[in-house]
Amino acid sequence: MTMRIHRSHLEGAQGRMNSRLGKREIHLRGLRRLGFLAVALMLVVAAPLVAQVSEDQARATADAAISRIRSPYCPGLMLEVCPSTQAEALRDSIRVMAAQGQSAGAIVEDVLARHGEEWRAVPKRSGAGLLAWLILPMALVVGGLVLWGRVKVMRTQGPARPAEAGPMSDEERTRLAAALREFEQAEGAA
Amino acid sequence: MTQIGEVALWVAFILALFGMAAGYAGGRRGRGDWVLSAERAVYAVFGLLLVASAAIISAFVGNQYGYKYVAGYSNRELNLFYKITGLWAGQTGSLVFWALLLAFFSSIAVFQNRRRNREFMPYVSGTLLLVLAFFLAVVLFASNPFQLMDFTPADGRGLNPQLQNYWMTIHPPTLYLGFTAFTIPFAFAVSALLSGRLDTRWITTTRRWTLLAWFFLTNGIIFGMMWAYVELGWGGYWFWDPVENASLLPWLTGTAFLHSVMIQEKRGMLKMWNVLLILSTFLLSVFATFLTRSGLIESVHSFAQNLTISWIFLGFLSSLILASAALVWWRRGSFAPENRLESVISREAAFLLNNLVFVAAMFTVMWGTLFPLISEGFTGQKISVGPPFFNRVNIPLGLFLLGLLGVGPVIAWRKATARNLVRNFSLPVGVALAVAAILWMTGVRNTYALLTFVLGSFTMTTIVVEFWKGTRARARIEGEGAFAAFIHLMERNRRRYGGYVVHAGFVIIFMGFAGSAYDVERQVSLRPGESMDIPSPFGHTYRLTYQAMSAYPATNMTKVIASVDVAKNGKRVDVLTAEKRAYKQRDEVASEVGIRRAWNEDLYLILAGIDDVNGVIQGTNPRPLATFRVLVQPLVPWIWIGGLIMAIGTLVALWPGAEPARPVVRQKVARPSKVAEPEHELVEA
Repeated sequence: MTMRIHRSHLEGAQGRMNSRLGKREIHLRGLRRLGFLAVALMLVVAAPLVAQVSEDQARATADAAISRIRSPYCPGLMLEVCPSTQAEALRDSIRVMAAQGQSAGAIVEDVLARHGEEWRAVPKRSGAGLLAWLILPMALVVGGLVLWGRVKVMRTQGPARPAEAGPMSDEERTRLAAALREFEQAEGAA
Repeated sequence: MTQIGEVALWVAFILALFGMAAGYAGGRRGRGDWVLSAERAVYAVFGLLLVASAAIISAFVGNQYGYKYVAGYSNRELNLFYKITGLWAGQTGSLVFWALLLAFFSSIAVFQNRRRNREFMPYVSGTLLLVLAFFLAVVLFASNPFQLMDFTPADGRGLNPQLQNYWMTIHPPTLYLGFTAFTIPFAFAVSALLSGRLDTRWITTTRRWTLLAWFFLTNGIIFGMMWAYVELGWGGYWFWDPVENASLLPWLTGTAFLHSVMIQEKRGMLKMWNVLLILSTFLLSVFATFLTRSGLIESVHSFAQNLTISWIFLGFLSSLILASAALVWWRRGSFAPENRLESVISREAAFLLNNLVFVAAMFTVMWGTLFPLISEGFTGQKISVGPPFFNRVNIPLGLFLLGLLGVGPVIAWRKATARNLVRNFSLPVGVALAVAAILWMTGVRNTYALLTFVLGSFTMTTIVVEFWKGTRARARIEGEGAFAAFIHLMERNRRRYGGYVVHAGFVIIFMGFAGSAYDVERQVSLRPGESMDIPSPFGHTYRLTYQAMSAYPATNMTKVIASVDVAKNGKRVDVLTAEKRAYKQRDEVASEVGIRRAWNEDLYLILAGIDDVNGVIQGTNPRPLATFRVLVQPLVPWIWIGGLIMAIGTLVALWPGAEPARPVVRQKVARPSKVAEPEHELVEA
């Protein structure tokens, strides 16, 4: 009996608990639905914006990739300006890759793997390509060092002041005084 | 006429060789009669080259297609104007033209100096004739314009469509004028080395020649940019193409030279450096010509590959480099400075820094241009170097120069004091900071664009202040009105104020370049009646409505033209046309762009494609789908305005007139050679 009571108690308690849990679950489920609804609503509202951003990003990525490749179809021209229809097709395929989410670097490597390394417009910063990038710092450093050396020599070589001029005549003194007055007036005016 | 032309070339070549020998030997042995022969040979070579050039033009105008050169660059339907310019349309003719211009300048230089600088003239004539003989040898032995074909075709191949453009007819001659004019200061520098007269005389004598060469080279480069912009149809004006780069190389060293000679003139320093710079400038001019003609590097501008010409040019260039280096080494003891550098905060030091940047830029551009060849030669793999590389390495250098442009002309000679720095730079720095703040507040975030405008405003302020101070002082002292004072100020020191105007033009060009950071581009396919919108970075929006497509035959070509209505913020403002031209003889199609120009931006329309071009030509498809590439390019017009201002400034500096009075002293000068010369002469002190 006790057991039964106990069981009934238990069952009753469990029932009450279940009922409470059920209510909470219903409540939670409602909240969850509301949350989903809110998120869905936000997504619906934001979708054009997100799409816009990703379209702009894709366009920027494609442009960045296109600007780093020389055209295999127009000798001497970059892919971005080559008027050939094959170049246009290649540009389109790059835009598709960008829209699929590939990065500019990955697109460039992909295109060069298919068409050849010689169409790379920006040398790599490794291997032989590194030499291309080193020239400016080297020119500036070497040129700067040479200049520094020359400046040191130039600061010690030659007379410190121009050779003294001979004595001035009275007429020259008058002209010099007038010129100095004129200069001072000009400086004062400025 | 053509036979006479060919004979004229041969006689000119023999005379150039004779005159060269007579000039050098006359200078060495002090034989005035031989020197006179050399000088007369210069005039004769010019006359003979004039005859040869007239013969080539007559072959073009007379449709003489038996000549390979004429058949390759002309046809019966070609406009007479382009037939005449056929002289420089191809490899062979342009070499004759190069020699003609050089002979023209040489004759003027020899005539100008018939009674002065006699100690220089033997070697000057010899050197000029050496260069002329080289070009004539190339023409006669590797690229003869009078070469006959095995048969005479009924018509020629016609001129490359992209060369049938106004700018293209003046761009190459202007560039050649620049290259060839640099030969005169080069010849005087060689003469100074040979004669041992390494004072400022050769520099003052060639000052105007250097400026003239720089004027032509600068304008030649700008005309080339204009041609690329309107004709190549990609919306760009500078593409770091190998041939463009080649023309920039002598410009960079030539510009460095123009600045460093001032240090020698004012302070008697940098004598060896100036000789090296002018030698390099001429050698780079020859290098540029070689690069264009060898075809070794792929370029939209270069002529077809010609290995014979390549080897001849390489041989000549190497000999010139070795001979120049040997001469400088031989005279190394004669370059002692007359003054010492008193402070690193001085105009001399600013000019030295300017020279370092120009020469570093020259090395960078040259290295990038030759890198594909070098990498292929050493590693077997051709590593291309395109515009993004050149932009990345050169833009910082350009910005540094832009800032230096404001410092160099204002900072004091010898030693700048703190007072001098504060007085000269407070206002420009203040204006630059204000510009930076305004641009930042208006949303300009592109670093390079921001820096260009800030440094540009700094430099522009220093220039304006210099003019204002000078004009105001003159107005007060002389009691003149502001305008008269301004004009007289310019007249009194054309070189200085002309230089300021050139600097102002340079600043404006840089601002034009900076505008490219805000280019807007759209590509759309439309049917007649449909529209597209494109925003301008200045806030307004253009609406382009494709109206119609028409086709009609014209001389030498069939034109297919799309007309597009342009509305700005809803108000109709213009009608643009963009074309495709199908050239008959060459079976080539070229684009003609439509450009709407405003003071602050260009609207650039390219007809990128037509869905049914045959239907349009035959009149069966009245509503073809057309693809348009549209660009809004802010500040591009400023590049051309800046170029014009630079040209005006150079002309002001070049214009003959009274130089500011300088004291002249009688000084005894050691006889450098045995050529007859006065024992005493006047030299500038």
